[in-house]
Amino acid sequence: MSDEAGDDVRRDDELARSLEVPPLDDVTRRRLVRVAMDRTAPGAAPQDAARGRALAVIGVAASLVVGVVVGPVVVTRPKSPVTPPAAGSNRDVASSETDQSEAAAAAPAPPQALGDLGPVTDLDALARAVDARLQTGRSGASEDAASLAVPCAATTVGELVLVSATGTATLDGRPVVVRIGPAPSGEILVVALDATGCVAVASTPLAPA
Amino acid sequence: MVDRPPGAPWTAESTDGDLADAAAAGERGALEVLLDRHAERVHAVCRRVVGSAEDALDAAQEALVAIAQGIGRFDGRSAFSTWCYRVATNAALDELRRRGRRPTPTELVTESSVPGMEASVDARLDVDRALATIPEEFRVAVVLRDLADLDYPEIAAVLDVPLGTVKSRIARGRSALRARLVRADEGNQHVPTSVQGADDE
Repeated sequence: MSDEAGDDVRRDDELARSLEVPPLDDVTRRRLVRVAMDRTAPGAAPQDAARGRALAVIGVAASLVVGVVVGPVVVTRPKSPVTPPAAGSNRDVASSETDQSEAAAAAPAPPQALGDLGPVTDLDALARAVDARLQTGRSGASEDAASLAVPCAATTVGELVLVSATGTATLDGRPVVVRIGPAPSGEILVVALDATGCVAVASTPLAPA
Repeated sequence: MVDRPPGAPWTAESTDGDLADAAAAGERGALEVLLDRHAERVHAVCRRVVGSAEDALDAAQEALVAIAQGIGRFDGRSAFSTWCYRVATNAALDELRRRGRRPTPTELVTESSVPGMEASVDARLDVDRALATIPEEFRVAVVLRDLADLDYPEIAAVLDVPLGTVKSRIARGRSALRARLVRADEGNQHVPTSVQGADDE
């Protein structure tokens, strides 16, 4: 090619204009920086943040699952949505939870509302969006009240032992309801339900590979 | 090095070198300022290499984490921004390989929700589509030259290839990209017509 010898060293201004990328909004930029700082904080292993979140969800779920297994009573979920019991303390959790449930006999606390997760292209992206939302600790309740009225609320998701968090998203152009919770195996899953028919269309693990 | 009282906050006048030295020494404040300063350019490179707005955010996130983790390995032989571009490029390429697919041009719904923005969204999609169809090595070279404005030796350092290879990739990448943008322009009138022979000197 005529210019393959590399005589042109100038920047191509026209291509530069075409290639320009809209600047990040402040929220996104700060989030990127904050996550990078968090993941590289002294003593933090790269997987610690994700594992911590997964354990938090599992912990809350486990307290309910054990309560159901131990006795024919409904276990009251702790007020705080993320209060994981220490590993190996399921017996203590079960007994204390059983006490609470005998007194309250209340329904489990509602799932954590994640709000609308936005458009995602595939399941991996959906899992990352859920992960990011859990990381920020935002409940979604204050930012999008409408999203609290999540469709398919009455639909039981067979893959999940219980629903720990819920939200909505647009998965590859399709509106979906997102349910997060532990599977019988203990693995935390993200399940997408078609928002119209409330039928599960896909699921993926929450924890990164 | 700019004199800075111990414990004083880092400012916009602080140089990358000073910030990098302090960050490498464990000053988290310096690291945060550095990451914030370079987040945009890291994201921009990822955006054009990866093609998908969403995947670009993932790649940019991994790049910033890698920069933070590797700050102690920055030896100052190149500009800090050049090093950032190297990390960003690698993160973007890793993202593409992780996906196992060609970059998929997409736009977040929010970017086109403003009335009148459709034209610019179409233009960006045309650029993304055009970039997606040219070989990865050409795409990266053009992005580093014409978006990141790195010079040829810097690009050679980022890509770890000879200077002649950089020149060739840029020339071929530009040629291919312009041809595709011309076709897109003929289709929707939203993309600037390429200037033929602009680089013929």
